[in-house]
Amino acid sequence: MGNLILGQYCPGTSVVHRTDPRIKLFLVIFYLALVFVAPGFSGLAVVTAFTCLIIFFAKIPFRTILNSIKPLLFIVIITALINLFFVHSGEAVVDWMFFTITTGSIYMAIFLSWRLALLLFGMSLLTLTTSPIDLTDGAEHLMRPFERIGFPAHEFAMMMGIALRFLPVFMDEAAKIKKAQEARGADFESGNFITRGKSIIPILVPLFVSAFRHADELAMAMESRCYHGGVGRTRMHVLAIKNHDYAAIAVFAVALACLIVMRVVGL
Amino acid sequence: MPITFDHVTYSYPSSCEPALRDISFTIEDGEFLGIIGHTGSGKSTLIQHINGLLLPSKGSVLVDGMDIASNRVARRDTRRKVGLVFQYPEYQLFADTVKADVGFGPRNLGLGEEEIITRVRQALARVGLSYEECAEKSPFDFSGGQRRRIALAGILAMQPSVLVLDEPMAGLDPRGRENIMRFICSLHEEGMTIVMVSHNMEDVAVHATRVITLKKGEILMQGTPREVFSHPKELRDVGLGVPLATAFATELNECGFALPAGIFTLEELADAVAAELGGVVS
Ligand SMILES: Nc1ncnc2c1ncn2[C@@H]1O[C@H](COP(=O)(O)OP(=O)(O)O)[C@@H](O)[C@H]1O
Ligand SMILES: [Mg+2]
Repeated sequence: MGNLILGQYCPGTSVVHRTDPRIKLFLVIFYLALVFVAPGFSGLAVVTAFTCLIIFFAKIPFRTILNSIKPLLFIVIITALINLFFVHSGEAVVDWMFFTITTGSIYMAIFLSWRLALLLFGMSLLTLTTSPIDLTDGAEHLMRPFERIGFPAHEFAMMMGIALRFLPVFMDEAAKIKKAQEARGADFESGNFITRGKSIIPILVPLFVSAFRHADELAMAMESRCYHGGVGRTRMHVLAIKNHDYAAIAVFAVALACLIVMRVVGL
Repeated sequence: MPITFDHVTYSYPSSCEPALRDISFTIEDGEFLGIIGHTGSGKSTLIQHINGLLLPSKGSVLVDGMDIASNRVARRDTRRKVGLVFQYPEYQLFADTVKADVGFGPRNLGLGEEEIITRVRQALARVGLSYEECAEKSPFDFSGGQRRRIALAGILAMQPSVLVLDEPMAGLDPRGRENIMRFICSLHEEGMTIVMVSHNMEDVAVHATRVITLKKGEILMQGTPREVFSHPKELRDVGLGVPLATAFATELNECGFALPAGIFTLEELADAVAAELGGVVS
């Protein structure tokens, strides 16, 4: 297996793993609210502590989480840099050629990248602790109300699940194909923008061909097991909300309440 | 151009357990080196070190005495001289014509258009395909076995002096396997150095001049096929076997026969048994 990436499941039996996927999806939205309600650094510190608590309960090594969001860290860095150089408020700290860094811009850079990092942690915690099957199941349930207006909730959830399942496969395959073309003297590192763009064709074409092959085989395998979409399909594991799910909701509600109070009081 | 592995250890960045551990051996010019080992024993990882696609975490790979990890020029030269055929090479075809795909390697070498066409023509002929019939067709219009031959031609067109193949016969029917095996042997007879990873003990026993056995990233045994396959128990312990004829000869010897060591094919077995019983040897 290649690197753990965002969207990859890290199996376990912790209470976070066992939480009902519907509740978990709902709590992720709750978590977004937490991050956005948090006023200033003190609020973010509270959310960070809260996130660490979840990580502790999930029994996932901190390094694993860090690895899983590594590919997206550049977004955090870019956000920080943009804010650092383009926000102008407060006193100037550095003023050199066209670089102006102000106290306000430093504050914004830290605040926004902190916020974004927390969001990434939250998302990654969801996918690390929820198997693609559970995730799809949960998503299907949450989307079910829209079936009344003709939205194909089951099919949509199934596609999402398959995409998640095959993401690591394609990452592996892309790496393999890249090596094979390098063995034929292909050069992916040098050249200008256009030659580099062109040099990616020998990777993309075989990757697409293999995607279609996988799709074909998967469709055949599903059909040979009588899969025919969502209508009339029963489940092996029926989702049921248990006590620890209620507890999880309660914990999140308390956290949100704290943050709202902090905001109102103006801490 | 001898290629020497000097205490090579390699771990993939994403795992702590090393995939290769303290590997030392030399690939001599003109030899046919067979590499066998259970799935996950590190065969594919090993061969990617031969042309510097992977670089050792510890130790070094020396080509003509130069370390290809530290010497960029040596690494480039090695990539040109070592043709690496990955497992299922047909999945790496990408161009819209066979000509363009087989010509991809030579083009990357910076050759002229005419030279490229000559090489494509030669390479296709070499794998038993006609340039006139195939050149302008899409590689995706061919059968699985033919696609593999096109992919092989793509490597041959670079005119390597060492050919490394990772399970070149996987997933082919018996005739396809035989064709590829015969083809690899003829390349070897013409003087090309061959390194072949295979799960087929018979092929390795009969054709290889030397065999390396891997076990969990370490070299378990190396030597001539005769030496290696005279340890059936050790081989079975790591999930490998010996050629059918060898196993049969061993059993006969346990029942009182005195057959010589190094019997790998049915013909050799029949001859040995006939000689033992005082019959006619073909
Ligand atoms: N890209 C990779 N990332 C991480 N580990 C890998 C990768 N490729 C192979 N491995 C691991 O390295 C070991 C050797 O694999 P490999 O060289 O493919 O074995 P073989 O070709 O003998 O089947 C295995 O344990 C495998 O899980
Ligand atoms: Mg392999």
